[in-house]
Amino acid sequence: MNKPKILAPVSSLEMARTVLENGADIVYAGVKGWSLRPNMFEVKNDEMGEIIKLVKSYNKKIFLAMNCFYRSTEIPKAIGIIKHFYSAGIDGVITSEYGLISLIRKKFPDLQVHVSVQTSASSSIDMAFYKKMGVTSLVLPRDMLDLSIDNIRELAGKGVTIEVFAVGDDSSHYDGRCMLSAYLFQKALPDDSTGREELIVGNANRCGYCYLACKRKCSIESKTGKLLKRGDLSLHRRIPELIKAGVGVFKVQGREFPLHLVGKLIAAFRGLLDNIDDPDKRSGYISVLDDLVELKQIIASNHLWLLAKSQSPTWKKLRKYIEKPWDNLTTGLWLKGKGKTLIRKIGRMI
Amino acid sequence: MDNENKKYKVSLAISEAEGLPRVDFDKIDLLILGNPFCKMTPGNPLGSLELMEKSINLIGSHLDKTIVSLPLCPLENELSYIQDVLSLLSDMGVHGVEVHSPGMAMRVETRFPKLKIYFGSFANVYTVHCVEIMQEMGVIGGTLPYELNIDEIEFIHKNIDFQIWLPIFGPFPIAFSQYCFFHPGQVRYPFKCDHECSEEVLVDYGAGKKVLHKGRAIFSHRCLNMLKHLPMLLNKGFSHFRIEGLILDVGSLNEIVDIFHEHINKIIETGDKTTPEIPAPDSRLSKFSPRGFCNGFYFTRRGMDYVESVMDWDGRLRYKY
Repeated sequence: MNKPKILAPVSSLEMARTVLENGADIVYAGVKGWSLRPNMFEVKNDEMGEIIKLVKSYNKKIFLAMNCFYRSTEIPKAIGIIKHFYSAGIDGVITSEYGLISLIRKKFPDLQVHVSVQTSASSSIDMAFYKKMGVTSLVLPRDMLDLSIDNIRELAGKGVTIEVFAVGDDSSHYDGRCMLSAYLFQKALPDDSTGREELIVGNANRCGYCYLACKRKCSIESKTGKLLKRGDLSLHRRIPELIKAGVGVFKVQGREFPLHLVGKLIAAFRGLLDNIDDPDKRSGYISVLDDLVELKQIIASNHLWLLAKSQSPTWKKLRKYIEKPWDNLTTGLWLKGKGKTLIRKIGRMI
Repeated sequence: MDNENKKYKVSLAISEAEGLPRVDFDKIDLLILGNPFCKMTPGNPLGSLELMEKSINLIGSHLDKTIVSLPLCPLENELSYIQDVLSLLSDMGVHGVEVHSPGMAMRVETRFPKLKIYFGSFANVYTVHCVEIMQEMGVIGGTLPYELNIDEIEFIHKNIDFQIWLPIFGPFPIAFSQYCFFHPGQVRYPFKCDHECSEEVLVDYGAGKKVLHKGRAIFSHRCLNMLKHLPMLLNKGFSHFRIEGLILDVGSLNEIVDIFHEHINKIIETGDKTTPEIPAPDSRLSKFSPRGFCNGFYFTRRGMDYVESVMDWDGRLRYKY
């Protein structure tokens, strides 16, 4: 059995260095306007070049995230971007668009193609299609990750490497099939800076912004609540059985999260995977991940990540508090007490 | 109705088998049968092979214009049932199926060559290149994702010879989940189902932002209505129109179809594709959408907004937001 790999997020050169030093096997990043994250967590073309060089110096792999559903007229531009970074040394492309997959296979036959969660490939018949298209790996929809392990084992035996979200945002609907934000919040803005024809803010499937409507307060017949009551997705407790089922790649989602948190998450997952057969060490890393995932959830549910790249005084204040306890990975007590209260308080201020 | 000489075609999507006797097949060119979001929805022909067989018998001599919408994002343990459904449809002579993923298109093409294949709006067919791949797998028509604006749809329409069924009326689907939200504790389908999804639930986010939940799918709380924009659509060369009746009362569908026929024929007969005398909006349609209308994403606006075309002082047609 091949040792599973860790796929880590990168939204800056600094984050690339951090995740590589902490044990990532593959990293992924998107260039501005062309991947499924707000612009501020994508990198400029020249920074992407630097990141590729850094990844190569560690002898690791890098995937370019091109995972939106583009317009027909944007496909030549998308191919141009892939060509540029193919020359610079990327190892693969993450994409959702099967038209684009077909073109990548024809133009860059040695480039790995990774199918994004946006495709919501949920069964072996989808797997067979993507295998025929020549893809190398495929991420399972978040919506089906709490299915029985037999289902995942069945899919893992189909000749395409299976990837799952080890930790990431949870979503109430199938990715790539949700227009909730666009229906309720959409604005259309021309966006010259990214080369896209028009950035549709709120159109999450098409590189816009997901407003997480499913996690917002709503009312149903005068009762108020949130539709999605679950916290963020984390499968770290299920990793041993997922490895047995044949999962080949564990993805840590979080280009938008603080550098420090992402680094600690990668380090903990590395430790877990390297010590998967040692029950004591394994439970120690799982306990660390419990804390880190809880912190990630608090940051996500309070939208604190919006501050992560800003230089606002609020973020600096928060950062001063949250970095200290992480140094010795004893976040648990702090999170359940003072830290949690502080983060929630600051979250309400935004 | 002489289908050969018709300049346009109308398709109608319905979800429940019991509505079939009330469908006037003479007024439509394609019936899209079944609720692809949850086969457990009461009356959904996808719910059991017996119900599917009964439904097909009800269709009688109109099988050549009936397609069945297959379940969306089926899980591994549902594939054998879908295989049985496809065998039944093929044996009984149904015209075809609507698929929601390229994998399913490939499966139908290889194992059930008698069935014609169409794709639905959630098949993620966003570009000309995707349509070409679908065509290579024998797909002959489909509904593009609702997220595409009219310019993108026109671009695809002009660059590839393909039946594009353009939605013109009805609440349209905007999201889909494996979860049924109104079940206590959000129990995952299909472990338990009390058929709570037979009722639509209006979810209010405040400030006029609402959506309609039905089981595992979310629909627009307003009906998409492109009646006022028919001249523009016909002018752009579109000729296949779809009425989305999945969560509309079946009894109202014939009247809706009539209204659209009336307007399309009038536009075609007069040759006037810019100034149809259409009340704004048609009062006969208002009763089917009590919360008003919307245009979805055709005009690159927020999906719940309604964009009206108006005749300006200089005689030019403009959009009013």
